[in-house]
Amino acid sequence: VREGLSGGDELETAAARWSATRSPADLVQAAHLIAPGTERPDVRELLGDPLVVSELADGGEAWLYVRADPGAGQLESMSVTFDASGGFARFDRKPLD
Amino acid sequence: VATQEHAPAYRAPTVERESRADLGADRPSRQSATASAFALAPHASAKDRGADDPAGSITSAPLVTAAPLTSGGKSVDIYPISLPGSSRNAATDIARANAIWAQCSLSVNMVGGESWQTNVMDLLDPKGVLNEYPNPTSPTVEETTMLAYHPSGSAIPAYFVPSMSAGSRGESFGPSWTPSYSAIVISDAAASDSLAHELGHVLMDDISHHPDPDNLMASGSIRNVGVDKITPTQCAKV
Repeated sequence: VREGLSGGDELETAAARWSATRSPADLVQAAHLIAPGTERPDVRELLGDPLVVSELADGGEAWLYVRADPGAGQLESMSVTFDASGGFARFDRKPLD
Repeated sequence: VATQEHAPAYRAPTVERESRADLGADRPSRQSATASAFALAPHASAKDRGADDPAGSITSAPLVTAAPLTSGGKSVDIYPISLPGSSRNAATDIARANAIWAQCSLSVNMVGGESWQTNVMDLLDPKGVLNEYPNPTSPTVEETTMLAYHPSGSAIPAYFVPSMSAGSRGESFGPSWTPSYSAIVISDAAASDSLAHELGHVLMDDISHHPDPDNLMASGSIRNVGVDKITPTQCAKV
């Protein structure tokens, strides 16, 4: 993880756990430690490649990391959103409907 | 905060306090979705609407049926728009919504409907799938392009898509959300009450979910589909 990335050891540990397990619970823990404004390359380094990248109407991007899959017991999707300047804006959990 | 650069003009959902049985000839006819087994034929006849169509051509004229209305009640009109690959029966979903919302003496009517031959779901990868928002305040470019096509007049458009990128069963856009729309999206994976649920978000203009799993407005993560209770407080909001 790049030097200066906020969140420190706790973030690195949580991100490593997410990378190892791909468990949604671990993603939640890691994502909540990412500081607003963190740049996309740093987030990719922390969380890995997203499943889907969606361009947003406001110029930002949404990166999908967990897809909802009721058959597998996953009842919500999880994404990180970047603002138009490319900085991390927030972590979103979206229910099935 | 998402900008409204791509947003069409705000249109409040149509809820009529006193339904009329004598509709004028210049208005779209409507019917309660329970009144007949109307099914939206996928991509039936051709009709090009040119400039109204931001990302494709329109291929069917609105299908219109007779229009007896429930007297003394409220009503809301839904205009189903079937996108390529969708196989869902709009009439069934709207009929179910009509039955559920009868708890509030609200009649849910299907007004016309069409199949829309469009490439709007090919703007982003994966193609053929609607790239969905992570948060209602942040619609994707596919969604804003899709929502810019709204041939339904004052009726609430319900876009039927084959699937959604994050696996959602459906989603909605409320009139006071930012950006502002009144629209419903339903995927092939939807539950039988998903349209009724999304309609509730639009009519109550509220993105929040109810904590009771038996409530229609409970999140899809916990909702007991088929129970679909609506509280008097919720009824009062529509």
